[in-house]
Amino acid sequence: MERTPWDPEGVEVRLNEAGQLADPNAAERLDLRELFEQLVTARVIDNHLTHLGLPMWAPSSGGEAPLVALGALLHDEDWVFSGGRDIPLALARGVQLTEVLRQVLGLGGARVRVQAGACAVGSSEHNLVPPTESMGLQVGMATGFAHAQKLGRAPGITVATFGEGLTTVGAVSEALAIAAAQNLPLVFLCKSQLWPDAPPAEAGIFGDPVQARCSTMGMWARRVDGADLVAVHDAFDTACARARDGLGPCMVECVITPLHRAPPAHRDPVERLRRFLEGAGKWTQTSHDIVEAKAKSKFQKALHELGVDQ
Amino acid sequence: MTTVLEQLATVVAELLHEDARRVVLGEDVSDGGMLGLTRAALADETLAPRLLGLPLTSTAGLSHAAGLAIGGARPMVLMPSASALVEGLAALRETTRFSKRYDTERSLPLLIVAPCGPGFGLGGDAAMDAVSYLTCIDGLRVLVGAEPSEFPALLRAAAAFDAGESPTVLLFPRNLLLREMDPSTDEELDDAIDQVRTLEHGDELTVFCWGAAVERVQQAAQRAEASTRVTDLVSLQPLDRDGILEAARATGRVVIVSPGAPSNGPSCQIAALLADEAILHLDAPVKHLYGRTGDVEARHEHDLIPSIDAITSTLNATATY
Repeated sequence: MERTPWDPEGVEVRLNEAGQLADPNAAERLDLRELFEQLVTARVIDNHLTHLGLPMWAPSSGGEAPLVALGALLHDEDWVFSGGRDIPLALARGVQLTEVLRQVLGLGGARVRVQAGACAVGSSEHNLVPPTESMGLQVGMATGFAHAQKLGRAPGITVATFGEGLTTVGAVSEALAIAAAQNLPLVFLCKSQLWPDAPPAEAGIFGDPVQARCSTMGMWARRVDGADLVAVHDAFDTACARARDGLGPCMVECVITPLHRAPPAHRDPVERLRRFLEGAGKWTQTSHDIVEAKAKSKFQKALHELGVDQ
Repeated sequence: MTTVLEQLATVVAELLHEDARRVVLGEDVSDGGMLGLTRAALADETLAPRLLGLPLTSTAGLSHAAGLAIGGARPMVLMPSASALVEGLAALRETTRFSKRYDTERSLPLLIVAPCGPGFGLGGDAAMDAVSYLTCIDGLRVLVGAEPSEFPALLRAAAAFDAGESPTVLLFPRNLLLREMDPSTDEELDDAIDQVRTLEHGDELTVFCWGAAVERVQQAAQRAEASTRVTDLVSLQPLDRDGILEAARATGRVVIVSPGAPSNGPSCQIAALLADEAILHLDAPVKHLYGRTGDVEARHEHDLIPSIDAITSTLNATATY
């Protein structure tokens, strides 16, 4: 397949644009049908929330794969410091959809207060800390938390999620450096948005990829195709294992493509995995429709429980 | 005899011994710290892993400390200057909000210790007390010491967090930190740290003051012609509203003496409180006395605290208004 400006450079790929696995055995290690359902569910919920026309809402379609993969690998005792747009991860942690909607829609009765418009979710029952209102400080908090885990020999690891723009914040750079220097049990997920025409100047993200910057700190770091759930899962599997084994922090930079910018179909993680499942005889349009219908029904039922009219 | 700083260093080591959850953060704390406050702890190598010499900027350091507190540690951040906290206001704000936003029962047990005001001949930002900035942060407890021999006890009390107290900034006036003290006089505080303390009993007027101003106010009260009640606020946030109102109503005349710039801060809060709830008990306008304003050169830094003469004059004028 001919390369386009939409295809990221220097990323690890396991499932190619045509939906073919580089290592056929990878499919046996993962329950790809279950993960596919989670991707589709996350997509349906994001689309429905987008259609509500919430002020400041930013759709996250196209960025689901890292969140679904990470959610499948985390343990109950692990902690996540979220950077926003992490609803699939919240659902994977077990947060109820009604609670997610309470927070996102700013309804009364939410257990955790999040910044309006941040597409953010938190849950003290599920060790999911919402983003700070001051940009990037949750990364510093995550580093401190992991430090406490290490000092107290507490079980579990810490995860911090953020977008590539946040790496221009000084406090985030310091947090990354401290994590490396102190060998903390920490996994960073950086969702790097793909800019086919180069990032806007005001984003301040010219230069080396985030993965390269973290590598120069001595951190284990990988840059993977965020549309490839298999590659993303592999990277997080290794990263989480390293953090659990006391080998220090890891950075997984996932290059994701916002679908609202109409990229080619193979940049969509749902479509990429669908192509594989279809080739393996594990996907039909009917089964897909059922998954989407279940997700839609779940969403509408949750809204109804909350007394929200669409 | 020992200096107040040296005695505080002893208390830091004691606090680390007392509770394994405590950790110390700050610039060079693994090498004694900017003010030498971890030198005593360094003598015990078992404490070394809990002396975290990181990170450099206030924002990064305070957010890291907040994360430690979320994770069950009890961080004590040793800052080189209260003015450095101004750079970390965003992190302080996130720290104080955390328990309410995240639905946890207890506030984060984070203690920040910093010298403030004039005293080391630094001038500029380092000579400011930063109080007016810090008290803008809702939910942040701000304490300031005034009697050097009580600083060690104040540090112990501020570090306790037994009742789920809010994240706390404890300020020590620089001009008092190098005083000598007898370690045998290091005892527990007589009063709760959230209540105004009456240092001099008088019945003609009341002075509210704190930190580096207290000593000068006490000396001025001795010279003044009026019987003066001198109160040390200790807690600048939250203010002891009942204690302030009781002290103001007792004499009907009030002077507020700030050891710093006049803008915002506790002085304005006290004046507003008195206007709201004690105006009918007052026989004279509330007088606010403060020191030199603007960017202060090192040679003038002690002018940030009102002089004894100025305070004495104000006390006499207010008493005879």
